Amino acid sequence: MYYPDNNATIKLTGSPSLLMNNLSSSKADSLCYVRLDEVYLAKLSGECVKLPISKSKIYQASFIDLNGKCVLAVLSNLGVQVWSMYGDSMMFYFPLNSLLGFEGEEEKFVRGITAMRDCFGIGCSTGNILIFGCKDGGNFPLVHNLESEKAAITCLTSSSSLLVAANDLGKLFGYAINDAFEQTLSFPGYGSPCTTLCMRESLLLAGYASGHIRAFRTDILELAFEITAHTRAVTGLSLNYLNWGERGVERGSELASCSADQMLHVWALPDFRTNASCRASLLYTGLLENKMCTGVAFLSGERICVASYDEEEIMIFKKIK
Amino acid sequence: FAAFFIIALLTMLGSQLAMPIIVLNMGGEMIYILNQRLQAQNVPLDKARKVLGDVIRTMYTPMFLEELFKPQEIYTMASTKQIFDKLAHSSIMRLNKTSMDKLFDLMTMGVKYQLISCRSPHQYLQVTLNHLDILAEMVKTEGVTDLIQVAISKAIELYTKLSNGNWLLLEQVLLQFFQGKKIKVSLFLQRNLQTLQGSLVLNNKGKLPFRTELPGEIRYFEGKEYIRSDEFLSDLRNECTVSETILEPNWTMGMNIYLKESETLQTRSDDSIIGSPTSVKKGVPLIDLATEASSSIQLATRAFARNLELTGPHSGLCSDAVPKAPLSAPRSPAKYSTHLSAKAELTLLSDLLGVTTARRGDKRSEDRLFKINLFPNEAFGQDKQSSGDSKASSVYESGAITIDIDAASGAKSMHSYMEELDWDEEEEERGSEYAADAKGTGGGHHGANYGTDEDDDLLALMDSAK
Repeated sequence: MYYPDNNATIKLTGSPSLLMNNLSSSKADSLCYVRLDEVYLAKLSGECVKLPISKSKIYQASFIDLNGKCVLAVLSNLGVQVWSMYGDSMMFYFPLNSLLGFEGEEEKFVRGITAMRDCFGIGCSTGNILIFGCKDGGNFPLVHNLESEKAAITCLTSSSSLLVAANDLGKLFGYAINDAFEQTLSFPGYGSPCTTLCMRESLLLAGYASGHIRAFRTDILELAFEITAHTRAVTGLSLNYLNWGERGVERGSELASCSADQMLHVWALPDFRTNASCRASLLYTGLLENKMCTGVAFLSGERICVASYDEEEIMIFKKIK
Repeated sequence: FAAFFIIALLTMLGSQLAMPIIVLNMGGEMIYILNQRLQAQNVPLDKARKVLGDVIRTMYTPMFLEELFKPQEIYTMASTKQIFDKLAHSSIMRLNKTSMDKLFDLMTMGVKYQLISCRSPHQYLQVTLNHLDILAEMVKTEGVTDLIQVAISKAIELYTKLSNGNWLLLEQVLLQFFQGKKIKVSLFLQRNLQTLQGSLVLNNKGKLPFRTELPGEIRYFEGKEYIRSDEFLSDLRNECTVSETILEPNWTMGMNIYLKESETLQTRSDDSIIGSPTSVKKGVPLIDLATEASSSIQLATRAFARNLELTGPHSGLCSDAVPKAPLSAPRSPAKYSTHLSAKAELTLLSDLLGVTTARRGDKRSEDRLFKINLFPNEAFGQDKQSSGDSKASSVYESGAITIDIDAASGAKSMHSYMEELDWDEEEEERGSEYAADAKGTGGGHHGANYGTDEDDDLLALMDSAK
């Protein structure tokens, strides 16, 4: 169903680090990833730019849509920075120590980000989830400080009504997106950290360090299915969009997963509307030989891009028409 | 203090516990390579053991270990190299800059390969313990073995308590440390462990990480009950097996890849080797074996089991123990015919360094003979008698042993070396296979702004330990 488009491989000036979810795409097909203590922006044309950020331990860089505007968020041990999509100006900076202080021996950091209607959330190593409002003029006040278990948050995702966070213990916590952000659900861990999340309406998809992908139905609070997908930790999940021009409106039915096991999988997801549409299936498997995949993202034109640790290129896979 | 340490440990990030993994494993590789070179140069066994013992003794001084195992930011590649530069010169051995660079490159690529070959980050501990076990066996000198045992205990104590999330953080920071290092190593190229582009070959077959299942199944649930499964095609399903333990008993990463095959066969039947056929019965948990040389892997496995609350009769233990890969016991020179041994050793070293037989008169050829400095007290091109140096004597009498891992020479005699060698450093780098990939040597970008103030701590200890 997909094939590797070797002619479209994007050459990079710096190789990505092995982090979870270390590739993000924007509406304009820009890509961003983390390399050591730097963030790189890459275009499909091969143009690669380094973000002019100060030195810090970066855990994630991701494009998010805030009030219809695409911005770049950088999460590190210093806090969260929000940059313009092209990385030419920093719009917002929240220092982590202003909230969590300098107490304690352990180093604190932020990791995991998701954008919602008029706010965005980030996860903390302390288990806190910080919610920032999005006001006009680039003002992002801290509106909520949600607490979960005392385990580092690994990733966040959201639908139109639900914010979900995962932690190092593999546990998942769901919060209703409203004025109160009260916790409405939780799913137990399975003995391995949950490394990556994505969501389509009431279907929550989680990748784990054990190589499993699990799908939870948030409407009936049940595990729907689990896939023994990879032989190493799942490092990235990405859902396609039904209409690329209107990202964030409706997700499609294809899920791409990547892992340090050199594999890219593309799955067809059920919609659970009928009994016949309750099964998932594997659509495509791509072997990226000798590459530890560290992030995956859908692009326009039914393409998938995959970043790999220590490899100065991003592989492109294209759907066969 | 112990309770405080444990509490502090539990709140510490895994990313701050990378230095012991780096230093102990790279140190182990250094000893393997130096051991191989000492054997290649037919250094007497007692002298060789002294050299290795001195280096190990310096590397495992209590003060150094104490500092090493403290949670701290990871050092830069350059600072780490300085540590090993001091370590390498802590004995009567001397290495020139080029040799030290080559040594460090080999160490770096060796450890990088071992770490990326691990199925899960928990196996970093096993790689470390493999190195330590072999060092303890290699240099059975009074005091040295005890020091290594302390390092083993500290490593087990520290790493078996890490949470899975912290193991992932540790994995990330360690791989960042080695990111960008793609130096081609002939031994790796010959064994198909590395591609011609410098990328290390990954192998996903064999044992799976603990708690990872065979790929290829989709299980459906309804009302928390399992209802059915679908299978999908997975090439790896028939190539992998599930692990029952966190640490794999036969995991050879961290063992001496510089051993010759003849040594490998010789030591396999040694009853004193941990887990040898005569000491292990199939199906009997290793924990029941009363052996003085109890495996550090067994200890670590038990510690993991305790900390992760594993269950089952063989929880944390291996029921099908097979002999570990042979340890590198020091070789007695008398076991080898001198002329055959020298030729064989030169061949091995040339394989190691990736240099083939030089074409006579072809100075531009990158295929040059490597140089072994067997007469370090003699200046190149200078006759001993003409120098009037009455003190010039064999290397052993002077106490200094020069290890030369320089592959930049094409001559057969010292006079010829001087005539043929061009001491222009640029040409030396151009001709060296290790510099073939310029990008591969540029791995020192990481962590430039943090930990630099602390970089001197271990280095200062190295100075004071001399």
